[in-house]
Amino acid sequence: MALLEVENLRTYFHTRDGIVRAVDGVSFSLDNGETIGVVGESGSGKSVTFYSMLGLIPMPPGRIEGGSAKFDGQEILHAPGPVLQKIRGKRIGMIFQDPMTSLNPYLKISSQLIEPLQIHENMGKTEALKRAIAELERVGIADAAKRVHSYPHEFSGGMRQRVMIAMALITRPEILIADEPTTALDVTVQKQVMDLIRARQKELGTAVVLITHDLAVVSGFCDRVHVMYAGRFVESASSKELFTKPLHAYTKALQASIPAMQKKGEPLFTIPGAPPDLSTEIRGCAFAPRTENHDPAKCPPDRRPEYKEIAPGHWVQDCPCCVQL
Amino acid sequence: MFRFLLNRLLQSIVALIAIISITFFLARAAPGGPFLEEKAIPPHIVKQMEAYYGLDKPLPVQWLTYMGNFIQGDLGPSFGNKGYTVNEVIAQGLPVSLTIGLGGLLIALGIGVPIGIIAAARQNQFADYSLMSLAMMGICLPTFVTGPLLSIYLGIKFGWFNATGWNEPSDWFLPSLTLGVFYAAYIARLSRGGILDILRQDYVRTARAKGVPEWRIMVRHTLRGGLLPVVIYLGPAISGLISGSFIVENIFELPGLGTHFIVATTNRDYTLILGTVAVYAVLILTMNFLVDIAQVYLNPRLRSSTAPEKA
Repeated sequence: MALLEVENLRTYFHTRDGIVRAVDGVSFSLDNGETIGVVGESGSGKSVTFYSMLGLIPMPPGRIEGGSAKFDGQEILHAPGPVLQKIRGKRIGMIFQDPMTSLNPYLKISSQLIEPLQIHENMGKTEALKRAIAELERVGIADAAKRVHSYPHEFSGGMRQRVMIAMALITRPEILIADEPTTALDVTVQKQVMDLIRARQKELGTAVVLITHDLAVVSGFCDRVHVMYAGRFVESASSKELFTKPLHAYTKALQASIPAMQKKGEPLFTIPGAPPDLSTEIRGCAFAPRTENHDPAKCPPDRRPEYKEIAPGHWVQDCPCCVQL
Repeated sequence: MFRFLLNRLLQSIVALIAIISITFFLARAAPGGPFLEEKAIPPHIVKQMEAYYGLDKPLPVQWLTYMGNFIQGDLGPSFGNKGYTVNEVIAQGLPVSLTIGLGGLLIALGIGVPIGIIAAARQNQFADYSLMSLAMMGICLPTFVTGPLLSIYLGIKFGWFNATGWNEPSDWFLPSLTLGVFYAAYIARLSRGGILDILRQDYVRTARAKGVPEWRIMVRHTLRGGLLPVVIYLGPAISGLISGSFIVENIFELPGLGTHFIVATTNRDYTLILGTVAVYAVLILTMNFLVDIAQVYLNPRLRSSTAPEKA
């Protein structure tokens, strides 16, 4: 049985302007020690998928409309607050996009680092501090015994993200959810942070979910990649297969948008148009209006394409005009 | 840190000198004088009195003399309260004003901060709406309405306190409550806003992702930053509580400084005007000074000047 099994998860936001279908039927599973990537544009629902599972979205306006999510066999959708609190930070750790704002500027690094241990393992301060220093050393912060007593503003962006990683992994969680962990960092630091996550994952055997809009980051890092668009997965395959044999027009377009894939000097490729407004129900294929070979005759506007396993382990939204075998 | 404090101290001293000098010349520019009475006093007697108090000398000379005495702590004789020096008048009135002012502050904080926290924790729910409506009422009701009401109900009808006067130890409570209601309401709104601001921050999401229980998020991750606006407001609040007690002192017939201040201005009691203004100015400047220190203490980013290191 998989460590995390999500079945047809739907999370809507009930706003004044209507119902925003942020996550509209997402299914996937995650095995022990596995690494998956979830790729998509901003607003495609990647983060909300995982936040809503863990009770981290504001409710209201957010509401989990249906589906199930089983973590280690236990249903966690609609689980009461205290149950989720015991899982968050203990068995599932998270790191976020902006390390500048994700650490509390009013508290010392030390007290933020030891908090998971105090809460989840009832550990005393001195012992927890020892663990915190050891953990800081593991993420490559020199002079950790002294640095641990600093405030976040005394650290640079890359160091803060290291602290976040140390904090998320200090309880040895089974899953690490990394939500755009490198987006706010500059390129040289990005690589260091990804290498660090990889190294810590190997040591601890943690499963990793990498949420990103950057297909290039995912390529060498993940076992399996899910491409998300307008609240649904449009394609999912092993990392290798997705890169060598992308089927969906959106995946292809994302791949074409990687700057390194293009000739130097040529204008960069951008996907025409904008993602659809999720506050009105989408009837046809969500990506059809943005693909060049859109043909209303072939693409029925009144039903959403089915998500099908086309080759073993290769799933795709079967829209006749977006998918070309 | 030390440089910062020294800097603020010097600024305060300059501000104090400016306040006193401006008040000095403004008081003199106002028409009338301290010796005008219903029945005209013979001119030669007025001259004699002016000479006695040094009022016949040129204005700049008077100003210099006053400033000289002021630095030595001598505020001069009071023109209105014959036989008393300004120092004596202040020594008698200030403790009363301080007592009810600080009492008002305790009440304001004791009521305002918890209300703000509860309202923020229950944002857009019934508790929030009802507490904030209550706060709005507190802000809108002037002291000359709440004061008499409290005096009538808690003083006369229920007989829990003396309706007026300054005789028993419990006499501070009603005036302080009257003073404190407005500030409690304002502090409630300030702390609610400040806390909500912090609850929206990314690092609160981080804390939730760590599995920190909600109450602990409030106490450890939110209050320090969320109550900063309240701390900043404490400076003006304390000086307002102590100096703004004129109406309350009148309602409860208290021998405080506020009454002296108003009477002194109508009587052109120059020395007493200056004396009370000086006391209030020192209070306000001290409070702002303390608040600055508290802010630096509470916000680590202001505390050290070390530049962030590179990874």
